[in-house]
Amino acid sequence: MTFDRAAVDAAVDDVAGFLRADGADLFVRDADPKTDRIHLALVVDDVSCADCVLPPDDLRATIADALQRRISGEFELIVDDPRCGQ
Amino acid sequence: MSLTSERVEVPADAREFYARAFQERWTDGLPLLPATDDAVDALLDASPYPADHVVCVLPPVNGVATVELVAVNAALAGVEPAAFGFVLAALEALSEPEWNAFGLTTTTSSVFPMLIVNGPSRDDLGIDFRAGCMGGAAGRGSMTIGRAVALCIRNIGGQRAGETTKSVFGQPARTGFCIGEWEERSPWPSLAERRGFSADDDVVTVHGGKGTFPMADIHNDDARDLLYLIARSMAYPLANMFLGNVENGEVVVAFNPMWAERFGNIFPDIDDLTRYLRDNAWQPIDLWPEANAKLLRDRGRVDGQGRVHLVERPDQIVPIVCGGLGSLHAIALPSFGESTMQSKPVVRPT
Amino acid sequence: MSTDTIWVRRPTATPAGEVSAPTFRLDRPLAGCTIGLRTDRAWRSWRTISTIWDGYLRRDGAHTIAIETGAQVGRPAAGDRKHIEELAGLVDAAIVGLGTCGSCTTFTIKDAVTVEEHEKPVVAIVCEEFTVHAHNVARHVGHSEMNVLVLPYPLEARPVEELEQIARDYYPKVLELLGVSS
Repeated sequence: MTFDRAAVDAAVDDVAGFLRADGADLFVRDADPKTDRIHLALVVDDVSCADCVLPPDDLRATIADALQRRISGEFELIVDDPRCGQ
Repeated sequence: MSLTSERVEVPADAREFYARAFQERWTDGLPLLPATDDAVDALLDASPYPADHVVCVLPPVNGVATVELVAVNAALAGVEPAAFGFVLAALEALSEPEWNAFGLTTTTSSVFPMLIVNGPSRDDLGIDFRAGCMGGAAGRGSMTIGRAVALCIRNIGGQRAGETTKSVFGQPARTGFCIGEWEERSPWPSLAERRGFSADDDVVTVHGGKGTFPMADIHNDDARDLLYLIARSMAYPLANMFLGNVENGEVVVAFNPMWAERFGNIFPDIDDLTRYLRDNAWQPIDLWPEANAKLLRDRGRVDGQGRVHLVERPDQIVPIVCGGLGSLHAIALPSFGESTMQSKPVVRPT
Repeated sequence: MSTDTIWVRRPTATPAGEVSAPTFRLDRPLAGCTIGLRTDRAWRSWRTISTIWDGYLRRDGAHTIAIETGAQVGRPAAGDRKHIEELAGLVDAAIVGLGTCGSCTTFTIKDAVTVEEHEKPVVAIVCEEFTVHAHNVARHVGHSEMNVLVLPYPLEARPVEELEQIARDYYPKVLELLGVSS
């Protein structure tokens, strides 16, 4: 087991904190220590300007950094970002 | 518990005990833990069998491996009681006649038992299946279970390089090789399930492997093309499996989880995957110099297209999923050839 | 050095006893005997030598049965071991080779033991590098007195002319080890 849920929640909370200032949010869809997959979703429904939220690549890097500061070992990060693919 | 193996007085100091282990020829070169009565008893308490139960007879010297003697070697390796059943299962597996311990413990080849573990106990026991699983992950289960089996072959089986084994090089696995399969990241049934066990069983599969054969790719986006390259790579010209009987032996191929996902998308049925690998694991007969080519022709190894296939059947290619998330790599565990992998369930005390 | 000691258990198995199964001799001339020859698909050199010996044995009045083995596991191995068992029953003596690698030496001894267990004279043919190994294996399976004829090593890469010379040079020794009398 490479991570526990509390560490993931704490990392997501850190990032979500400043996303909320722009009206966005970030939540955990799934964090499975058996597969080492951490699956998050960005919510931008209430954001007036989606582009004002951290750009997708930067957001992903910020999330990864927050997780790596709390979790030792590898993990696979999946971020559902509604802005991607548009 | 009343133990019957001989008692030996040794230095209590760790370094002095290490030196003594060399004098007694107990060690594979690495430090050992003292096999005190307490340590041995704790392991025997975790065994479903009595201490005098004969697990197997181990070549080359045909030493009788009782549960007690196996426990002594497991204590030397630092096996924790909950993991002792895995050592017993491995020894039961490798002593099956079709594994050919008789040949494999004495050959000039580098072959050694390579243990692959399935089941729910992998994480709890530190049986590595993620990044560095074949060296570096340092899980206690991986490092001690494999080593205990190796020490049994050395101390009970009497395998000694240059004396009772003719292995020219040996290989790093001769101090123990024990990995898990990352079942949760595999798009296919686990190795143990494919071999008839339940997902709830802890199972040890013993493969007569010659080492780790690394393969890397950073270019190919096409999963089928990548599998083609893997198949052709496994069929390297001096592979043991070109020397003997085409219907004997298996090649284990370890896919990292990222590649496994890609391969699972195009081959959701593992039988189709292994068929594809088998069909593409070949070399043209022209590759070999005439002296070798003649032998291959005489043995009927060349098909109508001038190809020499590594194996006869798809089931002789055995995919497993393990390793880290960095992608880019696969590892084959080439076979000695004249050996058939064996699996045994871990039995616990009732 | 510290004088503190502890007690531990010895991890090694008790060595097997030195009692050996008996070996056998023909103690008669070759004429009229049936001699088995076991070759190995892996070794051309041994096929060359054993073919020459086959000719000599027939020249000297023996009837020969030659079988080829080549597997250690699986269906092919089951067939091989069955053929050895059958051969052991049919022949008066046998020549079993070739031990020129680790596992093939092990199986040469294994198959020679099958012949000896049928109370027939047998010679195991082993290359020099594997002599100690052959004797070890024989001892560990309780046949420490087994006759082993040692050929030069390596054999496999030698030109045919050298193999033919080796066959000529070592044939008398094979007969001696089988206990052939004149």
